[in-house]
Amino acid sequence: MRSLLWKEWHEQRWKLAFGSLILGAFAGVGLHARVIADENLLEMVCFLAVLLLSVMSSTGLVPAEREEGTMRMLLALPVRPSLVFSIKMLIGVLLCVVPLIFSALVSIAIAGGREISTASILALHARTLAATLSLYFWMLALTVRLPTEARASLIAIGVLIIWMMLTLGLLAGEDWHRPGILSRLMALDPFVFLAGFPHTGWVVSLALAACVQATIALALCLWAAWQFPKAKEARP
Amino acid sequence: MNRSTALLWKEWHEVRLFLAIALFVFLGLPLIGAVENQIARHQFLLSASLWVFLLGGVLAVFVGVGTVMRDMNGRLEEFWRSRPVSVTRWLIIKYFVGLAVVFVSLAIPLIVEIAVNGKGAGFGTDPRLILAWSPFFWAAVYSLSFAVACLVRRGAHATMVSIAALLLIYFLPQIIRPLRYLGLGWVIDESGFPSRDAGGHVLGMYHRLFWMPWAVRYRPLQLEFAAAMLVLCVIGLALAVEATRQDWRVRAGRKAIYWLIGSALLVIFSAAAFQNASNLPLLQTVELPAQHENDLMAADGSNGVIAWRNWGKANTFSRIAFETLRIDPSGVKIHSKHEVESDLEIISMIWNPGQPDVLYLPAATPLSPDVREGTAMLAVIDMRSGARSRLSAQPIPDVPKYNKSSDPGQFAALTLVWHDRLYLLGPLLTTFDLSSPLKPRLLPTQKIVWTTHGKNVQNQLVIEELEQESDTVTLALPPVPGLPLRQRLELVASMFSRYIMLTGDILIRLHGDHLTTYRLDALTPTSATFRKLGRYDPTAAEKLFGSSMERGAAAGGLAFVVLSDNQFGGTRIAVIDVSSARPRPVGHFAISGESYMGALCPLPDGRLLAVGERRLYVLGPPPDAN
Repeated sequence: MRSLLWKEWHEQRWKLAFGSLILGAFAGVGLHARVIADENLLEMVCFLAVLLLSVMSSTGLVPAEREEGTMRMLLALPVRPSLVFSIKMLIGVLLCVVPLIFSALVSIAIAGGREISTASILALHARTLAATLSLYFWMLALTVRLPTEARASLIAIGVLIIWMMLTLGLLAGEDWHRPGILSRLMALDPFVFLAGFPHTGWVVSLALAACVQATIALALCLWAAWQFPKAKEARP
Repeated sequence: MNRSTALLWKEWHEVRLFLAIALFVFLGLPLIGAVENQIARHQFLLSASLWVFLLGGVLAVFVGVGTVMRDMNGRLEEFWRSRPVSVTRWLIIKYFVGLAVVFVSLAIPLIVEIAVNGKGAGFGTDPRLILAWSPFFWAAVYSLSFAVACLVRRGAHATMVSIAALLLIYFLPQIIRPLRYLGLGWVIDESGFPSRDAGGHVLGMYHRLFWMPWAVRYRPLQLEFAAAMLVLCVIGLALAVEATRQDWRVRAGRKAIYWLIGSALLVIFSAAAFQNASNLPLLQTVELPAQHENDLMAADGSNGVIAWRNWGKANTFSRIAFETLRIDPSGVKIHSKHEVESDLEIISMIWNPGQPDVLYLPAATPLSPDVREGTAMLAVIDMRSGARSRLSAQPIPDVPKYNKSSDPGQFAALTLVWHDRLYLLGPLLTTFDLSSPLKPRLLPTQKIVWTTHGKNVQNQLVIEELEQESDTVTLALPPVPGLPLRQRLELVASMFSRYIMLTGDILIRLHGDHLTTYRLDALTPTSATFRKLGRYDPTAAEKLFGSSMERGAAAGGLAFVVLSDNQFGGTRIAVIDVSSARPRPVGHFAISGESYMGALCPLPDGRLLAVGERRLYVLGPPPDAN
C-alpha cells in the first residue's frame, strides 16, 4: 500500500504544486494589488479552483494510466484492484484539498480580517472544497473507463458545463432562495454550496445539501469502483 | 512542373480545406445572418468583421499549426526528408501558402462586407481598419504558431502553446504601458479616431495609408506596430526553418503545457492587477446609518458634512438627515447627527466651510402631480442646535416659478459661496449676503447677459467643444459683478461637478469610458480658453475590473473617479494623475460590498473621503502620486 501511495504521490505531486501555486498566486497577486474587493476576488479564485481542480484531479488518475499503458502492470501487482482504486481516489481528493488549503492560507495571511473576516474566508474555501469534491466524484465516475486523458478531460469539461447550465437554469427560477421545490432541487447540484442557501432555514438546507451530495458522491464512488478495471483485464 | 510549383500544388491541395472552412465560418454564416436580417428587417447587412476581428487570430493559430503538423508527423517527415528537395524551400513554401490562406480567408469576408454594407456599416470596428492593421497581427500569430509547431511536433500541445502566445501578443501591449504602441487595439483606435484641431480638421501628422484603397489615416508612430509584427514574422520563420533543418524538438509533455498555460494566464493577471496601480491605504471606516442616496459630502481640512434626503410621509423626500464631521490628522469623527422634516422640493445642498454648521438649500414650495410649479426658496438648516436642528426658508420673489419637469434647477443651476456671498445663477443672478449666516439677506436680483460664440447661454449650458473633445475649448464666463474670474470659472464648473472637474488650471472631462484633460490657456472677463492636454483610456485589463467613469472629484493635480460596471461586483475608485500631458493611474481602491458610491471629497492633506451606502471611508493619499 505504501508503495502504491508513493507511486501515486510521485506521479501526481506536480499537479498538487501546480494547483497550489496557481490558486495561491492568483489569490496573492489579486489580494496584494487589491484590484477588486477582497470578497469578489476570493470568489473569483474559488470559481477558478472549482474549474481547475475538479478536472485536473479526476482525469489524470485512471485514463492517464491507461494511455501510458501502465494499467495492466498496475493490475498485475499482488494487490486488490479496489485498493489501487481507493488510493487513486484518495490522491485525487488530496489534489482538491491541498491547493484550496494553500489558497485559504495565502488569503488569510494577506487579507484575513481586512475586508472580510478570517472565518468568512475559511467558509468560502470550505464551500468551494465541497463543490469541487462533488464535481470530482462526478467526473471520476464518468471518466474511469476512458482510454486517454484528453478524452477524459473533454468529458469532464462537458460534465462541468452541463452542471453549470443546470445551475444557471435553477438560479433563474424565481424565489429559489425561499424554501420550495427549486431550493430542494438545488440540493442535487454540486454548485449548491457556492450558490448559497435560502435566507430562512439555511442550516436545514445546508444539512440537506450536504447529505444529498454525500450520498451522490458515495454512489458515484461505488459506480467508479465497479467500473474500475478488474484484475482479469491485466491478462493479455 | 519545377520543384517549387510542385510543392505549391501539394501545399495548396492540403491547405485548401482550411480556406473552405474559414470562408464558411467567416463569410457563409454572416451571409445566412444577412439573409435572415433581410427577411426580418428588410435590410441586407453583413456582419463578418465582428467574427474576423474576434477569431482571426485563432484561425491563424489553427492554420499555422495545421500546415506544419500534416508533414511533420513521424514517417511522413522522414519521407519528405528523403526527397531531393531542400528543407528550407519546402518549409518556406509551406509557410507562405498557409499565410496566404489566412489572409485570403479573413480578408475576403471583410471586403465583401465593405462592398455590401457601404458606409452605413455599423458592427463594431470598421472593417477597413481591421483590413488595414489586423493582417500584421495575424501574420505574427501565424508565424509564431508555425514555429511552435516545428519545435513541439504535437498538434494539441502546439495549439495550446500558440494560443498562449496569441494571448500574450494581444494583451501584453494593453497591459504594459511601454508596449501600448504595439497593440492592435491602439493602432485601430488611432486610425479610427485621429486627433483633430479646433476646427475639426485632422492634424497634419496623419497621412493616408498607402496600402489601402480606402481612406484610412495613420500617424508614423503606428508603423512601429507594423514593424514589430513583421519582426515577429521573421523570427518565427527563421526559428521554424532552423528547427526543422537541425531537427530541434522540444518535448512538451502534459506538465509543460499545464505550466505554460498557467504561467501565461498568471502573467496576464499579474500585469493587469499591478497595472491598476497601488492601492490607497484604508485609514478609517466610519459606519453610517442606512440611508438613501447621498446628496452632499463636503469637507475642508477640519470640518465636513454628509447629507441625505430620505423618504418620509406620502412617499416624498420629506426628511433630510445630515451628520457633521470633525476632521483632524488622527481621523474623522461624527460630531453630530441631525434630521429635519421638510416638504420643500430640495434642489441642491450648499455647504460653506466658513460656516460649517450651516447648510443652504435652494428649494421650491412643495410640488405634487397637481401642483407643477413652486415658488423659489432658500432654506437654511442650523446644525448647531443638536437634535433640535431646524429649517427656515425664505422665498426668492423675483425669479420665475420653479418647474421640476421642464428645467431642473433653473434658478440655481450654478451655485457658489464666495466670502460672505451665496451666488445662485440661472436665467437671473440671485445673490445672498451671508454676513449673518442663519439669516441670508437677499440682494437685488440681476439679469445677466451671458454669451458664448454669439449665443446666449443663460442656464442652457452645453459645452459642445468638450463633448466633441476639440483641441481648444472655450467656456463663457457669466459676468457676475464682484466675483473674481477664477471663481466665475468655478461657478461654471459647478453645474457639471460630477463629470467636469477643475483642479488648478486643469479641467477634466469624464466621458464614461475615458477622460480628457485640458489646461487653462487664457482667462478673460468673458471666457476661459482651455487647450487639450491629454487623454486617458483604461486598458482592457482595467475595463475587466470595471472602468465606466461615472463621476468624481479633483484636487492637487489628481482626479478621483468612481468606476462601475465591474464584472466582479463592487465599486472601485481610480486615482489618475492629470498634471501632465499623459494622465496615468497612481492609485485605486476597491470597495467590498458597496454597489453604490455616493460622493468623493479630497482633503487638503491628500486624504480622500468616500461615502458608500453604509460607510464613510477615509483613504490615504496614493503612495506614488509624486
